Amino acid sequence: MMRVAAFVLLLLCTACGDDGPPAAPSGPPQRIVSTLPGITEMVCYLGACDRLVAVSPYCDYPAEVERLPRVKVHPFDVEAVLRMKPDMVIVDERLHRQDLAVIRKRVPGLLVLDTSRSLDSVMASMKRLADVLDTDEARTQAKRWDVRAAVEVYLHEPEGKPRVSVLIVGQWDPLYVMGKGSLLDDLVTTCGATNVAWDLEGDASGTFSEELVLERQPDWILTPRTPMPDRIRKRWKGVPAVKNGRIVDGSGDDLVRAGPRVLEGLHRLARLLREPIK
Amino acid sequence: MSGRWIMAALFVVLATGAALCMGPADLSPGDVWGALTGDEADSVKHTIVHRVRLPQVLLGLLVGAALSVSGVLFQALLRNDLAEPYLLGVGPGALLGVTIAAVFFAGSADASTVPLLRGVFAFLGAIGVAAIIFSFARKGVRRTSVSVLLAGIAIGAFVHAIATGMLHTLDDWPRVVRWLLGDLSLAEYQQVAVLGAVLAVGGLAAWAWARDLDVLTLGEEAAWFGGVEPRRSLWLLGGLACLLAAAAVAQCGLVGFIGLVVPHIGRRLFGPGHRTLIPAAALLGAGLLVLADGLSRELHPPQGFPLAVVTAALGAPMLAWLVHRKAG
Repeated sequence: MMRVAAFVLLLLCTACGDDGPPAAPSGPPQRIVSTLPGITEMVCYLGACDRLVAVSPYCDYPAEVERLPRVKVHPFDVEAVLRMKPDMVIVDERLHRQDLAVIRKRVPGLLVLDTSRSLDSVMASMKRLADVLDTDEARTQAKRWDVRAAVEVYLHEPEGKPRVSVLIVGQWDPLYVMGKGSLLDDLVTTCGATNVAWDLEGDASGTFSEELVLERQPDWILTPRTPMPDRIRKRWKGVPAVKNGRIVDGSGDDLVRAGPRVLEGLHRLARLLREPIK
Repeated sequence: MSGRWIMAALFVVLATGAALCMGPADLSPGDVWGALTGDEADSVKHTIVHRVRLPQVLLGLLVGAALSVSGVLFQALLRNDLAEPYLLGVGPGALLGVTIAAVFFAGSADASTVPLLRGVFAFLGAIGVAAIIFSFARKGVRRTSVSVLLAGIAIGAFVHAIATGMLHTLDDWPRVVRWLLGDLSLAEYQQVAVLGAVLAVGGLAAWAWARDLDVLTLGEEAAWFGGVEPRRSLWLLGGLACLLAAAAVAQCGLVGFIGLVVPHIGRRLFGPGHRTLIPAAALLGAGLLVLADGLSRELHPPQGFPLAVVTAALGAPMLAWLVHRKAG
């Protein structure tokens, strides 16, 4: 009886024991797992594509990463990640917030980046990644991107001009939009426009009342990959964006991926939103 | 008696008026009235009222009525005060049908036929679950209505799990929440017309069989003496109850509590006779659901609350109060 009790106690101790996070290897990482397309693009932009050993199922750029093994990242598959024997796993703070405490305990060399909130957060993530990769090429590339970003922002930030309003749709049924705190919102506001879902609470995106769209009359609508359904087009026929055909595909990777190509997205968006409003 | 009818009708009118005035857009009751009676078809207020709120309110009225009448029928057929479409698994069965239509036909079928497929599959799902439950009831008079209800809860939970699992594969949580917790926000006049027709047929048929329902509530033997064939009535009226519940679920997802609470309120106010109970439940259910939907839009803007959260928040205290009064 005592033996059984001792065994159960031992099992409980093992189950409840917290050894803390696994030790991270010293020196710059050589086997990296990236869990987000934007992060993968950053790693490659900084010249470390050859250090990637696995990526998320959604990573498809640049072409070099297409041959890499995939790991499930949402929900986070710890076992699949550990099987790749990584010395660094890069996750996004917002995407993995729910699981972060558990991942931290089980994955060695975890790097948490906050990439998807704004241009500034992309910039900060790029710098941090360059420091971690610890090569001259990475630091130079990060600095170059930083300067380019500052120039793009300067060029596209209009002053004193009338602001247009934009609705950023993530999904039509039910209506799901991007609000403050999302990268697209930051890009739109950088271009001098206002996001009509400025009061959306929660984590940057959420369901949104259709009548507020009708009341706030957006001049532009950025759409997801799926086109605007006919029934919504009919209901919104009085909205300036629909009336004037100002509905643009906002699902391009350059707009939705928090990575180096976001500056191209900003450029594209700024040119679009600068078109005169009737 | 007539005073109660006037009160019920007044409740529906007031609830409809209040729901038309509720929502995140800044519209006063005067604006709403102006939009309803004026002819400024191009104004923003007119568009909000006519294209968003009015179809939503009309669909809410019909969904509330359909669920309530379905609840009345199930409670009478199974002689159990707890019987209602959601608890019996008929609602989850309809949801499974809707999910199958969404998963297998959304991409392949013509967009205009998807709502029809959704309705047909919802009915098949509901009737499938009901057939299993009724086969328990069919096995004899000895089987208590409690065991039938328990079977319904078990099958409902199983079917609900399958539907949720299938919705999960869509990797689309906003849509999952919409179907699991009810949503009327994308209501269209075509949906109103379809559900209106189903409710008219189903409601009138139920009303025509009101006497049979009265007799059935007295028990199987009494039903035989009263000239009612219980098995035939169970399938016929049960099918009707499934049709009404499935039609409601196909339009707006799962909404609990209405089918449970409203028949009790109706019985309390109008008595147990089904000739009056069916239209009374339809009126009260319509008013209650439209009020809940208005609140779901008004609270927590601009996102709103899921409809089922508000119906449960309104319905649960009402049911508790009724039980307390009955016990007293």
